[in-house]
Amino acid sequence: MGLVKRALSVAAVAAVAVLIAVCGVEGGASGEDAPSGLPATTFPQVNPTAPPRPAEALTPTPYGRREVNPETISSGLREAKGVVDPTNLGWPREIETEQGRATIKAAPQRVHTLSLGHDEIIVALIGAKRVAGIGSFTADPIYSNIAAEVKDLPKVRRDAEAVLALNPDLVIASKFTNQALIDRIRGAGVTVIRTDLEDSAAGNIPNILLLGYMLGAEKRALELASEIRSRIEAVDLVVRGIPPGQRVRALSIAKFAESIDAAGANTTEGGIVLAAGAVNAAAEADIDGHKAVSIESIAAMKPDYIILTQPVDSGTKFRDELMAAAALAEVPAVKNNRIVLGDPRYYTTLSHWNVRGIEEAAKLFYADKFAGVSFRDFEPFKE
Amino acid sequence: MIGASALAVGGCALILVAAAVGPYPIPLSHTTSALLDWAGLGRSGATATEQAIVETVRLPRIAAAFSVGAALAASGVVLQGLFRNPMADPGIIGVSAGGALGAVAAIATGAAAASALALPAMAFAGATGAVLLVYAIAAAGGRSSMAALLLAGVAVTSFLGAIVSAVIVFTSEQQAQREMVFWLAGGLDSTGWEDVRIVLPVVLVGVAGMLIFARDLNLLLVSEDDARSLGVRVGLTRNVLIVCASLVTGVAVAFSGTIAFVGLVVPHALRLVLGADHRVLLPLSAIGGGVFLLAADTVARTVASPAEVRVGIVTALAGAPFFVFLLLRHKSRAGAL
Repeated sequence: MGLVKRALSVAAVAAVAVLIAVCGVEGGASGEDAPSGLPATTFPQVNPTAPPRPAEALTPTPYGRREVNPETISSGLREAKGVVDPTNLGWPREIETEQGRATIKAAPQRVHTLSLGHDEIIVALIGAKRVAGIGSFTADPIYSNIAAEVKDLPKVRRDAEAVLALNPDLVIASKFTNQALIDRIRGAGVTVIRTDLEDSAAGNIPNILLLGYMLGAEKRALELASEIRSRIEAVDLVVRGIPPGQRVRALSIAKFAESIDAAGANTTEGGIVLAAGAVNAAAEADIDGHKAVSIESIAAMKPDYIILTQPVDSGTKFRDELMAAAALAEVPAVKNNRIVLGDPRYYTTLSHWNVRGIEEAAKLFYADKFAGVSFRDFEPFKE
Repeated sequence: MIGASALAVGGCALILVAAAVGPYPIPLSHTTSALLDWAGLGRSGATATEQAIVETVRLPRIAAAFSVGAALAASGVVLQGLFRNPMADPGIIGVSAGGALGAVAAIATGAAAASALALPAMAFAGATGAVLLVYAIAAAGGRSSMAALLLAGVAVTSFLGAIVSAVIVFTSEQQAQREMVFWLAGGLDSTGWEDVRIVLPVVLVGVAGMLIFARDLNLLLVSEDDARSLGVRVGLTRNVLIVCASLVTGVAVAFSGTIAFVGLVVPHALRLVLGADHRVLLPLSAIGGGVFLLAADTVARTVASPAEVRVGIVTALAGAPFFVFLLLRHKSRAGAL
């Protein structure tokens, strides 16, 4: 009897242990419920009130695809902006935008977009083979993160006839696209859908999910969304514990002709600076959006870091001018030689690639906290 | 005399105000001592940064605004007199369009990136080249008349404007496109003493050249035949005046881009007060143009501080209502007659 009792006790303990183990895996590593349909991150549990852990322990591994459970795709799509019926994973599919409802009859095979950000997202979702053509911006390696992948694709200008010559079955426009152009393309019988792109990678997740649904790549879109969240969280976990008084003050500027343009609040560059754990010096000076500033304004803002978001040649020249300006001699960024050339590909696009801007900026601002950490690009699309 | 004194006093006061205001807070006493130190009249009590901001940021911008404003207004006076057309402004003979073409060419070819002086040099070359083209067209087949110059100027301005648009559209490099658009918007951002050292002497020489022929311009205003009969060498006078106007406008456009309304509005405003005697109107328009553009630039760089607005927006907002006022005044006078 004693043996039976002992055996039953062991079995009960083992069952409880198994139960706890199963619940722990499903609960998510961060201690919060993972969004439906999105896989848990691979990070260890983090207590938000605990001091930040060394960056090495928090480097997300591995980068790249995280498998999504097909059964959770519909629930995951609820986060998408404009999917009429997330449970419909067949064709035709309906989506709803500010301009009304549109039907996509079958998975598009010849897609053309009218913006760089859209191109980067759709190439990440479906690869370059299903892209009918690109604009000049997308082919420019200075600004585009996919220039190498799309170099063999036809390049067209933003002109109805040129776009129609690509014989696209779906055209995706941005909020900046001229309505007359959209109407002319639609008038030729091509489905044109205008979707917004936000000025942050996290803000674009609903758009990415919508694009994935439109293209029949919803699973890949959910995986990409998961990776975006993970990577942003990896940086946030390190920088969130930095007291406000110890955060660096960073200013993102670019020079065009003789005019200096500063990125204030509600800009992509400003969002990158904030997500990297710094204070946006321009936003702090009540600059909203992109505004022209002067050397004197930069002296008044006194940033610790200045990030120049323009190509290397012009950026180097501008950096030299700033370093030589007598009026900026006491500005910490100049005094401590902290004027840095930011990669325009990460700052001027509106896609998941903004995450790379956050990672590189965080590593720049808090080098000691990210010592030994090397961030990698998003992996190219694979069949 | 009173008008000249008022302009002079107002101009000096405005210079002090412009030197005292800006996004970097500097106490007035420090600004004053920085100015005196710069002029060699005292020792500065300002910090090194404050001194540098006054000396290397605000003062050259003040000098540039004054020079460019003076150039545009003086040219406006001369061209309105020569063409006997109240709508004439410095751009009428193709200078602005030529300067714009030179500037976008400098950016598109990479010359602007290679040397700080390349852009203004090419803009100036474009401006003078456009004037020569206008002259050549107007003079084709015989002596050129003012009407022919006017028509040729309109044609060349349109033609060069189309080429500028084409260069922008067909430039594949995005950074270069942005540079072109920003330059065309016009402004006095980033002006330094190295720019003033070029602009100011050219403007002084050009305006002096115009002043020499101010009396002759009065006579030309009546008619060319009457002026000729009174001993005016009409051809020489006209050519020198146009060359001077082109020279100062070209150098202004080269460094500041295209700033609208100064050359149109200031001459009209001062003509209302001073009359049409160019011996008085010309020098005071130059000063008035400098004061007007300096005031506009001071507003542009402080109204949304630390951000700046384009000075062309301020000049247009100030100039357009004044133009409506002139038009209504002209209509009511015509009605009264």
